[in-house]
Amino acid sequence: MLRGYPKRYCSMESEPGNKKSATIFPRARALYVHVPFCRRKCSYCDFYSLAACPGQEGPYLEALAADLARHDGGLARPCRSVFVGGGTPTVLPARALGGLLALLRPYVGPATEFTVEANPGTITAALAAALVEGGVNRVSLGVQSFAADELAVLGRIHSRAQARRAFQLLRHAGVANLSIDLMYGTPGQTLESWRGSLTEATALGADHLSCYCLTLEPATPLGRDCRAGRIHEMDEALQRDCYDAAIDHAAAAGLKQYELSNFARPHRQCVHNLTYWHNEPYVGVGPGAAGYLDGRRWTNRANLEAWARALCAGHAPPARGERLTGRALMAETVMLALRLTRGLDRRAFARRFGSDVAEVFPRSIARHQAVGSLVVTPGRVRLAREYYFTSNAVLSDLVAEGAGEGQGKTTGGDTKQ
Amino acid sequence: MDQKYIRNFSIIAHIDHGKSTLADRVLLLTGAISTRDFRDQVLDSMDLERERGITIKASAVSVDYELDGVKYLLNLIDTPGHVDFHYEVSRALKACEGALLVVDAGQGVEAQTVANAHLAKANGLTLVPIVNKIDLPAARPEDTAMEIEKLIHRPAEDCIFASAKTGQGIQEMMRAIVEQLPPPAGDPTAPTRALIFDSTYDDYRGVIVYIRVVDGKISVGDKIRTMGTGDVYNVGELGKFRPAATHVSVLTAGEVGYLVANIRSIAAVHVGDTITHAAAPATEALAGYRPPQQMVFCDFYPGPETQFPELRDALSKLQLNDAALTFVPISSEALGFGFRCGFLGMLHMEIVQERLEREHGVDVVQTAPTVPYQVQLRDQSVHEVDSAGDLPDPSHIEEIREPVVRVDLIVPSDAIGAVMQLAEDRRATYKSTEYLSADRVILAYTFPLAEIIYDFYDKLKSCTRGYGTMDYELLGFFPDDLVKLDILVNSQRVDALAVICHRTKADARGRKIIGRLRKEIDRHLFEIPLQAAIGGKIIARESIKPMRTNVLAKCYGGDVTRKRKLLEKQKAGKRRMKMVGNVEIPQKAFMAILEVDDD
Ligand SMILES: Nc1nc2c(ncn2[C@@H]2O[C@H](COP(=O)(O)OP(=O)(O)OP(=O)(O)O)[C@@H](O)[C@H]2O)c(=O)[nH]1
Ligand SMILES: C[S@@+](CC[C@H](N)C(=O)[O-])C[C@H]1O[C@@H](n2cnc3c(N)ncnc32)[C@H](O)[C@@H]1O
Ligand SMILES: C[S@@+](CC[C@H](N)C(=O)[O-])C[C@H]1O[C@@H](n2cnc3c(N)ncnc32)[C@H](O)[C@@H]1O
Ligand code: SF4
Ligand code: SF4
Ligand SMILES: [Mg+2]
Repeated sequence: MLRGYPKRYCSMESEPGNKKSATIFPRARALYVHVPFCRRKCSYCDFYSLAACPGQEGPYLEALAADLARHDGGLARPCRSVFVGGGTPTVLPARALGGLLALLRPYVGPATEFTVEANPGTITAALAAALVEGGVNRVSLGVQSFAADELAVLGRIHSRAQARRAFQLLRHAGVANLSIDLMYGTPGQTLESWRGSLTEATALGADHLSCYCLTLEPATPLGRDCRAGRIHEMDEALQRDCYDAAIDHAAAAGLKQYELSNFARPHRQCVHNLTYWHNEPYVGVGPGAAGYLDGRRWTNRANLEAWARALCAGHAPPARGERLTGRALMAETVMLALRLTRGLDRRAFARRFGSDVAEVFPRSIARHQAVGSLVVTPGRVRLAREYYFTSNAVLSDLVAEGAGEGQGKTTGGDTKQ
Repeated sequence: MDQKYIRNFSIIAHIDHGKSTLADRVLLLTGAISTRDFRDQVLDSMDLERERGITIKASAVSVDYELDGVKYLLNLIDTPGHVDFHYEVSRALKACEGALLVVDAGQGVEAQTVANAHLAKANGLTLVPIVNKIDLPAARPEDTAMEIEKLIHRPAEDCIFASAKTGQGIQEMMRAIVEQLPPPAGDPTAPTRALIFDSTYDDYRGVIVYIRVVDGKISVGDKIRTMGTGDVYNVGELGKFRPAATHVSVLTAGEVGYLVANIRSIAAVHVGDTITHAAAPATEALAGYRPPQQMVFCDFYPGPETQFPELRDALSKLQLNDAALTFVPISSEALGFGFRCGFLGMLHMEIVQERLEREHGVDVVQTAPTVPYQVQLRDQSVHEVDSAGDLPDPSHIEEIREPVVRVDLIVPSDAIGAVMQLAEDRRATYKSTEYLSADRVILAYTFPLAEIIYDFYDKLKSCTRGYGTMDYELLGFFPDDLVKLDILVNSQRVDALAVICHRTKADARGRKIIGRLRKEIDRHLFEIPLQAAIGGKIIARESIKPMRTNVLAKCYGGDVTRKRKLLEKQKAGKRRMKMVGNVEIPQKAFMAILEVDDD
């Protein structure tokens, strides 16, 4: 990036030979691909994915190629990161997965972080080899827990042993950068069992760890059970203890916290997610995928059929969009940056928006500085460590102060076909 | 028009007894409004009136009516029934010679029936008693007529039995208006005197002054003077409400109408003032009105979305059409700049707040209402205090006087015991019992106003199976053993949360308020101590534990919009919040200090 120059005047230096390089907006250097299939739906998950649906991968791949082609002009070649998420990309049959990886090849260079999300229940030696063969150099393994009873509550398709084995298979196949997702807050979970899961993850040698607090989504079986009183949300104090335990444990294992929910060995921070947190452009393809380009955010409608039908007919897929300007854009930038333990780079912010962040959000920043929840130095604004877990109280104030003027303007509802 | 053919009258009754519906009948029957343009309670034109189904503002209408071949001009004023708007009734009555006293045959005489009948009598008005709603299956027309006889000392047979719904008895009522009510008595040749009985504000034409011409006449182009304020204006427009505003060139003695004279500030026009000719003025002004007495006060502060000047402008605009609303700028240590507002009662306050938000788009944080107090200091000076936060240091205070009201309660006789118990709990003094009929009584009491202003009416309703009604009237200010209860949030005294209460009730009240605040104030990032204190002595304390969790710490992937929306949602509904130090106090917390009873 040409630091110090107004971004919009610099065409991207990184893609010589690209025909459409005259664009005045920077190209996206991150690509997200949504694969909307899973073996079966977990009890807590409301990400867009369909349970077992034989025969759909062909049309999916066709439409995906069209979606990618639409965005080709907005994408750097190679990208800094390509992230294949879902759903469960690894549930695709070997041929389809190979086809998908081939499709993405043009955006993958030697330095590209190329991640595929994987469910341990889908990993075989052959699949691991196929991933590496396809250029994948990072796998994010959705383990969630190493405790059998929790895995059952969560409706996961794998056992503790399978999770361990999946990790080892991937490592053995040559995936140098392995991440594990864990969740705390599961009904029935104890601080003990949580510590157990953390220990197993680090003992396996994970390079990166994501610890998410289980959200009881209303439209999921677990959410319904909770509303009906059949299960109970984990006690707040225990949630907090779990969070603190994760930070302590990760640190002891040499995984440094760099974001509210993420920990990594040196040089193993997730480049793709850093793009989100730095509020830089990215392209999202696939049903339900989100993108951010040319100052516009969009989210494709989470509907495989509608998405594929539009693309096959040569149209844009249906999406919700919003163009952000002014204070709302600044608020989002702060909201995202404060998730990082380093916080917001005030100088970069000032360069981008022409004013100092403390002048843009004087009330919230002064207030939280007084409370002690924000640490404000000449160069940075960041959350204080004890307030990571209650970050929303800070972020919602900032978002509220940012709202009003320059509010995101919704551009069209779903595009009709 | 010859005064002989004019009748000026108000329609008065207890709330909901059918005044506005009867007015509808008159308008339809006289052809003032066509069936096509008609809608129920057509004179209730404010949105809030229509939504709540009550009259808030009196409206005057002129209609033509022919009886036995003679043409009459009838000026009628539909009045509100709610006790808060008693003042509107008193203004309307001054512009009339007669009144229709309407009583719901299903309910019988109720508290505002009594109050309004007495007021009309005191103003020397002739009454036509109407027993309304006789179509109701539960109607007891004869019993109701007997109660009216008892109240106004006129034989029950004089009552007209009517139904505003079916139209029954309306012809008879019209005849009674013409035959029983006296024509206006003023002198059309004397120097002009016209009473200002109301005013409204119109963005284009300025103040619209409602007048009743008593003597002489007023014509378009006349140079007039307001006798009280001494201002001179040129009459630009005269008219009558029929019910649409209709221009006329002259208004003569006995007539009711409106006047427009390019008056830009409503403050310049005093309701109750007399208008005369500038060139040939009358020597003596008409008897005016006592200014309305504000019974409750509260503070309005701009909410987070509103600026102080916007709130000031909105209040000024509202006041143009609501002379009973008062406001003065104040500044609270805890809440910053706002306004201390005075109201006729709780309903009035609620309506003003609603109109501010709906009609003027401002967002207000309101403190709990309080009654006004008089404080006598040791140096013998006396001060009006309409907020506990303004009370001087106790060491300077000799005594605190509170407003005391005379309360008439009309209740079924089998509920007397329960009502008396309720009165006793509220520091009331019993005065008298009067039987309205075998099974209904009027209990007279004096109460400290503070004891009845908030939830007393609901309590009365519940211990009388809904039949009890009440009316009150200010007697004056009387001393009692009153103390100021301070509330501290996060160790900061919040003046807007302080209350004045009786010493014997202070401890319980303090605990109760603290308990409520703990529920109403959300957890913050830090612990918030809550304390109640009298003088320097803490009488109750609790604390709000700090928030330990508040995450949306699942992975949001790339859908940043969703994350932002969730945060926004978290913040929404916090619109009506006020920051005190670093604590967000929601609107509801300010009102929570009112809850006086244990539950
Ligand atoms: N059955 C029946 N209902 C009636 C009659 N007159 C009025 N009502 C109903 O009684 C209710 C109150 O009528 P209003 O005319 O608004 O009463 P009001 O006295 O003007 O009330 P306020 O202005 O609020 O004091 C309405 O629902 C009317 O429809 C009647 O003669 N018979
Ligand atoms: C969308 S999933 C994709 C990963 C892969 N399909 C799997 O589950 O193995 C990404 C991660 O989101 C997290 N996640 C999903 N639903 C969640 C919820 N309701 N609350 C918190 N985290 C959740 C899980 O940790 C999961 O690994
Ligand atoms: C944020 S990723 C995190 C994965 C993992 N913890 C890691 O470190 O690689 C988890 C999920 O977010 C969703 N996601 C990520 N980027 C997205 C995008 N651009 N559009 C839609 N969903 C996205 C996908 O469902 C994905 O499975
Ligand atoms: S492999 Fe493809 S076709 Fe089979 S269930 Fe998964 S998504 Fe559906
Ligand atoms: S958590 Fe992963 S495997 Fe489970 S339903 Fe969600 S996307 Fe599919
Ligand atoms: Mg009415």
